[in-house]
Amino acid sequence: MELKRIIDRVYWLLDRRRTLVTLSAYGGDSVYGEKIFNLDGKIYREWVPYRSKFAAAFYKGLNGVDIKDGYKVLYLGASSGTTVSHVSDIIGVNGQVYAVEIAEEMAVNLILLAERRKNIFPIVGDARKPENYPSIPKCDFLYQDVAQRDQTDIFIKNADLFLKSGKIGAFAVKTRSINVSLDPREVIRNEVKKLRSKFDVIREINIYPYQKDHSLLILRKK
Amino acid sequence: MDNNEFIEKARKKIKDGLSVDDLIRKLIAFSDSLEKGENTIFEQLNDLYFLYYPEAADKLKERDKFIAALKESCDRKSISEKLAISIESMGFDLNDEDIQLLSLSVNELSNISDLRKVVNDRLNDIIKKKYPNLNAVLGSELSARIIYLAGSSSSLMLMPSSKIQVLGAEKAMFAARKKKATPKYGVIYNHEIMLSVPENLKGKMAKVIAAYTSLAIKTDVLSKEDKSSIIMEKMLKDVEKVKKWNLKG
Repeated sequence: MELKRIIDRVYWLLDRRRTLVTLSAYGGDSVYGEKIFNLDGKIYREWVPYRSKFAAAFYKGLNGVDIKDGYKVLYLGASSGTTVSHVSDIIGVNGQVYAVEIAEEMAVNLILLAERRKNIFPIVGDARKPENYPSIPKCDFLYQDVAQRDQTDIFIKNADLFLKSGKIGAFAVKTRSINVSLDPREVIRNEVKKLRSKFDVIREINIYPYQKDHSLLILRKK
Repeated sequence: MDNNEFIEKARKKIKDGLSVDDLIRKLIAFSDSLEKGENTIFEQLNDLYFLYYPEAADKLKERDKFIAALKESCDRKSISEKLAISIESMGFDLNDEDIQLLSLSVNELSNISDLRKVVNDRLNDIIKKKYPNLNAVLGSELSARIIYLAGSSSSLMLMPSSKIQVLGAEKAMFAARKKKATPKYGVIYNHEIMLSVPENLKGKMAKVIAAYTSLAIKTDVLSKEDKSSIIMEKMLKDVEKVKKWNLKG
């Protein structure tokens, strides 16, 4: 088996097939049942594309994004912490990921994860109301995955308040949540139009077949 | 920087956010699963029994009857006495071990059935204590189900009664987007008043019940007083009105 670096701490594990892995920052515990690889004394965790939209974007051709060791990340729609655990791997023990989740039952798992991974800062709250968060610093990376009709507005609002300019925001758009009857491509075009005034659109990645009707937008704040 | 402060805050928020509604939701989901399991096991057991004694299995097609008849013993002799049918059977002769397995399974089924009753009794107690007005209007089982569908009592309270009327009919509601008639009722259809109402008035009756459900849950959540007698009096008056309307028309 051989490792090929994509960005710091994220690798392709090349065997008969390629597998996306992150270098674990917190030992060899499996968080959500993913496979653990042990290579040359270092522990790598498989990043499953069917469970994480961010991972799916890597499988669909994303080959670089500005997120690295020590970064502060704001993560909206953390759910039970599947993707958050990998982001926490990437930014390492010196980074901080502020994970916002509103659903209580999901947040419970997130809190339990945060007790094991000290760079995760759980926030139980509504991403629509960023003014109600506990005080958090400006962040270097924003990731949003909330399936809501007004997800674009939520993204803009949070980016305004907490994203440093020139930094990257990754935005998982669920077209079905915005408009069921419209063609998904049309929906994306409309959302991108809204985002243009404040962001440069770097890439748009449709993550089919890993998730239906989802795209990941990589945006840079102006 | 340490994340303990964030964890503490989040933990507190979770604890404050939980209420008896969550217990109701879990219990009703549990009760539903138990019933589903009960039916599946019953179907299989009845099928198995059909192999052994088809004449009896044919008469015991209802779950509760089946359990009651087979609970003590399920060999042909005692069952033929119980049901007063001939002991001569065209079924396959099972040996003692198989019969023992059968009776063990029936006992397990009976246990599950008892457990479901216990869960339902507990649900009834909670509803009666916490939502006396809603309980008066809908009865305990329907009250629990409607809170389950709404998510919580406070979100049920905030719903307009037209939404309450179609709770549980989400599928039909979505079908209505594609040029179909909107549904007239959701789970409210199972209300006992609805049984006695002629078909053409069921939609109107659902409106009345939904309106009073909305009133009752508001009383329960906001004033926390038991005004069920007043509410019921008014509601029954309206129910009579709707029924008379049919005679006129």
